[in-house]
Amino acid sequence: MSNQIFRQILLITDGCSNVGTDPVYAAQVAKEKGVAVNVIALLDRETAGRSGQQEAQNIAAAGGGLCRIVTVGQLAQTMQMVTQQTMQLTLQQVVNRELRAIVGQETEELPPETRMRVAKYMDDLGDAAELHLALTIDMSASMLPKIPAMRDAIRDLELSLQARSGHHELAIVAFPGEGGEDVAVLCRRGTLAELNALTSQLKASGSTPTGPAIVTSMNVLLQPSDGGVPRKGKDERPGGGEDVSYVV
Amino acid sequence: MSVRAVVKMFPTSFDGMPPLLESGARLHGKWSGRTYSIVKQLGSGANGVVYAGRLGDQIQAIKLSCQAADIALEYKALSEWQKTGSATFAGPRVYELDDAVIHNTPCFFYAMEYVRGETMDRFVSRRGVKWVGPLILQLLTSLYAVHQTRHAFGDLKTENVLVQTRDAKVRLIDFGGMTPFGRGVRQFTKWYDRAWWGQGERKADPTYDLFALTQMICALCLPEFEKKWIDSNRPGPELWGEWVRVIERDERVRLWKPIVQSVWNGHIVNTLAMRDAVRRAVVKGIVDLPKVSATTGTGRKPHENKRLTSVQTNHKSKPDADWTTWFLVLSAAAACFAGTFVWHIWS
Repeated sequence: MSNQIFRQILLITDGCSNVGTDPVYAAQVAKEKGVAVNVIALLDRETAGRSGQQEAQNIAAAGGGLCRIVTVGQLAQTMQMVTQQTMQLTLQQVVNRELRAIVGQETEELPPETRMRVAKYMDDLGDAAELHLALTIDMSASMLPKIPAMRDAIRDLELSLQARSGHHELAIVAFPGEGGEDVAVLCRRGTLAELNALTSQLKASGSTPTGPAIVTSMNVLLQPSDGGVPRKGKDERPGGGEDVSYVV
Repeated sequence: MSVRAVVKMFPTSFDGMPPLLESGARLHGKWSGRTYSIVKQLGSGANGVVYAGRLGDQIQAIKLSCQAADIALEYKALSEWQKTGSATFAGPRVYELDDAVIHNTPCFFYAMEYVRGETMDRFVSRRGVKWVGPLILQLLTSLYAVHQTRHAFGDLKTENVLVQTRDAKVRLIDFGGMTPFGRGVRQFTKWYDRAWWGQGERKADPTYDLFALTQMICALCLPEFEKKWIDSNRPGPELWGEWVRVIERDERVRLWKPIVQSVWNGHIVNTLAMRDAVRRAVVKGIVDLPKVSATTGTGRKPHENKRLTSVQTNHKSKPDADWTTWFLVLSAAAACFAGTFVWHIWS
């Protein structure tokens, strides 16, 4: 279990998808492929109405991840908490499966003393595990005022990831892309310095193609780590991910 | 995975908080069989709520969360430390780890000692900055004890320090951030987090807590900055230079400046060294008394320091005698005693 790689998408949005693949469907596909989809919906008086929040919850539920609805001020803290908790939940599933096989019980059914020891064991595993994370960021026009906070939150998340003993890789995927394409992969495996340069490029524009963005992020995460060989995935073409079938 | 399985995996509703309990509600521990009657909510954090609950004739504090692992790890750290029987145990005593079902949601909780007091910032704003020194000294003793267990406290901030009403004793509460040395800090707050300021790693070590402590001293002496700067949403590293200049110039932190700067420069790296420095500063603060009292409004009852009027000027009188008064009165008494002794020898 120590060589398990955790793959997560962290989708940050403030509205409803309006272009391309159904994001709930895309999230379900991602989950089937072992990529958990977490969603942070940013509260905004103008945009994120009930429908946006509902969609966020549906995406997370389909993607086997968590959904949090927060204000911009809580963004940094929430990004870390969601990443951490999803890893723990994934670990818990694995441990639960093993416990069920061995003692016929799950962690939450164990008496407190025993559960405490299991919790410690899982905490150690989680700290050492390899994490591949794609930050999938809504760059539609309403996000513009939130970009500085976003930049700060990404830097902050990276600081927390650095404090873990396990290796991690961070990708940043923006939707829509700057040139009018649905999705742009800003970086695949960033270091902190690169991220700082990159995040200063975040610019908001256009529509909200959430579904295609999830597909692209999933493909980035599933690409084998072979040291920066440029890939010719179709998902990189403008409007990539319009059709999920080719990645399934 | 079926929808049901997803629901089971994420029993936390969608915001991750446990369902709220009204006062008078019953919390039934599944394993211990004990039933607590909720008195009131004491506070809530990022992923849990703390209640005061009645068990028999006792009131205990109950931390409730949907995160089984967080609650279990926090309880484990506290109970293992408590079990060593160490006289320096500085946390709230913990009694029981258990779980319960509230509105069909599985929740996890532990019961602990209910510490009565007010948060350090409120205490200081009410009773004066002269209290900062003695409180920080006590806090350093507690932190020393935490560090002896090879853990950092992590989320050190004024809201997580209570000053007991009855004896002005400092108590750490909320051990959710307690982290073994070398690991990523489990829970933290921007203003007190050196990584946020761009001043180091977010890894638990003794200096992580010391940095937070310097921020706490500054926040207590210069209370107007924290909220204003955090709300400005500007990144920490950008604010750092400005913050250093504030500390350099502001008269209100003059006494603390050398200590704060020594921690920031890496000259003070553990609680003992900081305690010595704070002790010296506190004594210096007393020597500098007229200045300190002029800027902070430290006051004494006039009738209590008749013999000291030569060093005291322009005080507003305040109802309660503070520790500096006692220090001066005691030194005066010691001087009298020494004088009598010398006179006795001579004669």
